[in-house]
Amino acid sequence: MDNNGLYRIYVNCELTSKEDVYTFMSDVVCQDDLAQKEVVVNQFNQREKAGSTLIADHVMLPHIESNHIKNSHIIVIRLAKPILSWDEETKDIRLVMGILLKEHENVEIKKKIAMFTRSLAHEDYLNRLLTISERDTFYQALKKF
Amino acid sequence: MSSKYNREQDLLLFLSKSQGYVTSKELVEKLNVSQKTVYRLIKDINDEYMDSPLIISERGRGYSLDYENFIHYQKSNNPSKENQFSPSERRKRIMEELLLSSPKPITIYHLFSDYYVGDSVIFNDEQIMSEELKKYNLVLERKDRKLAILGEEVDIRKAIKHTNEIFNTIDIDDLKRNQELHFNKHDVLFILGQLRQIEKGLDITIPYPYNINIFSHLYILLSRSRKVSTLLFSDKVPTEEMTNMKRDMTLYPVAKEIVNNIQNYLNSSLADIEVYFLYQYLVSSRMQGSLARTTTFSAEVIDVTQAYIEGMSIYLGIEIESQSIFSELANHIKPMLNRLDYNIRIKNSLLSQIKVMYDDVFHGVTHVSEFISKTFNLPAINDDENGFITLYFAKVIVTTQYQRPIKTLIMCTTGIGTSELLKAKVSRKFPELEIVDVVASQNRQMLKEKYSDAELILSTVHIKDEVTIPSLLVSAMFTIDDQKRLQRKIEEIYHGQ
Repeated sequence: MDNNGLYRIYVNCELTSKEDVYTFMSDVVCQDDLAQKEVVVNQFNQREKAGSTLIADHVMLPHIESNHIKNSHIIVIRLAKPILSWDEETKDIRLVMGILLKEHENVEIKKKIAMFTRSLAHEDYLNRLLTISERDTFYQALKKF
Repeated sequence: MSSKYNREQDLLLFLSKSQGYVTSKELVEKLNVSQKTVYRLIKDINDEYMDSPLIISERGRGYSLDYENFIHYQKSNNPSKENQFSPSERRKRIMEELLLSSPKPITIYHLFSDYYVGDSVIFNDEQIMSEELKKYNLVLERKDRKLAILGEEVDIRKAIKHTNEIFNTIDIDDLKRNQELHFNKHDVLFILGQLRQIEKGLDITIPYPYNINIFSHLYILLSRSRKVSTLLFSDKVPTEEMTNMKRDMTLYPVAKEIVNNIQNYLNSSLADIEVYFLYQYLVSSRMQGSLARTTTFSAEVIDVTQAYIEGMSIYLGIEIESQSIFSELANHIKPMLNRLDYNIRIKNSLLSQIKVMYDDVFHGVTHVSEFISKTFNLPAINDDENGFITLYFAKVIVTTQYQRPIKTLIMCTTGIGTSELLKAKVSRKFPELEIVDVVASQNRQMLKEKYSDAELILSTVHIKDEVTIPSLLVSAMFTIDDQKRLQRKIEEIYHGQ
């Protein structure tokens, strides 16, 4: 496990709703600080309200910037089963890639994250990500960025 | 058959130009056909292309082209089916044989025996060919189980040229090598030699498609002369035209010399009128080189060119720097006026692409052309010519870039999440936007100070408070719908000035 790296990859996740996913991500970044977790989940919900983060069929890209996050992360969640109803309009989600950005993060990291999101503009690449189900393969595919 | 083929080509072209999926409604509007026809066209294209569908359809999204298959399809699209002729191909071949031998009659048995068809089919073919020939003022005559085509030589040549599609598609560099064309190799080499001699004698080059046009004329001349004695030609040229030609001390000697060479090559004499025929092609061709670089034009050429520039300037709503285009366009208009005079039609093989690519400009040119042919009392200017002229104005638009880029900011909550993704997508599809920066929505108070000249904000999050810069909310998916709304917004910005 590459715990110090930017990416956190979880495959075969048994999460069944949007709330599950947000809580799961807040667990990853805040570990045991309950109050902070709540703030993070809240931020995700706020962001979702401002505009959908669906970036392609079956793929969500929720992202927040927060002073409650100690280290920036890209959390990749490969769902075991699709979340059929993410919200009213968003259906059948299979892959979630959350960007959790620490406030005042240094430019180096920001650039890395920006590179990653830009790569998602390529449909082929995104389609490939959608077909991967092994953690290592995922890591290989993401490492390029 | 050709209109269906054209529609298929238009459909493929439109899809190849479109990003992502196109709805059937859009296709209906674009091609100006019914929904049913669109379905049928797509089915036919996919059926014909057997390996896997060329056009992919997806419920709720529409149609899109499988590019890899499409490129492959274009490469293999030269039909090389052997011994299998569709009815229209059969008629074309028979008509060509009759045209080449005109006015000599040929027995129906000889004409049709290769195709194994019955009397009713033959009768039907006759009707269709007869209709087709009427367009060229030619008559199909039936007598004693024989058919013959009767009419003026000029019309017969024109019909040969138009029925034989090969003359529209050949590439002059391809002539020597391409075996599929079934040209007489010796004739090809001889004519290419003559073309070189014309170019050398005049110290010019004759660009595509004018070189092909002269080539076709000479090739048909050779084929015709072998079949029929030239003395049978009944055409008369007005004496005034003849004296005018003889006064042309540049092109007339060349035409005479080439016809002389052809007589030697054929080892038989040709009618005097052949010099005049060739001369017509020469004055109707665009030439590049010292002779061609004329700066003095006749009053008519100047007026017509000026009328085009003015008309298009008004239509497009832009200033056209007349110096930049005048001499080029006038050099095109000059032979064009000759073509109109002599009724020489040059096939514009790019026409369908031009229509799709520069729809608006083409429309404008057609409009202006109508006005010009009325004002200057010219024959109708056809679409092939309009297509050529369109390219001159399309070039003006592209080179002058009268649409300066719009300074755009892209925004999301973090400034590196969906906004970076959006930036990558937008910059690929909307080159007219200059993306100044990607920003986080929290920082929007400082936007005005830092980016005072920004003209548009594209945001994946709803902007709550009033920002004076025009903004557009788009989804991170940047769907077709988003793209259309952005297109409208861009137009709004351009026109709002």
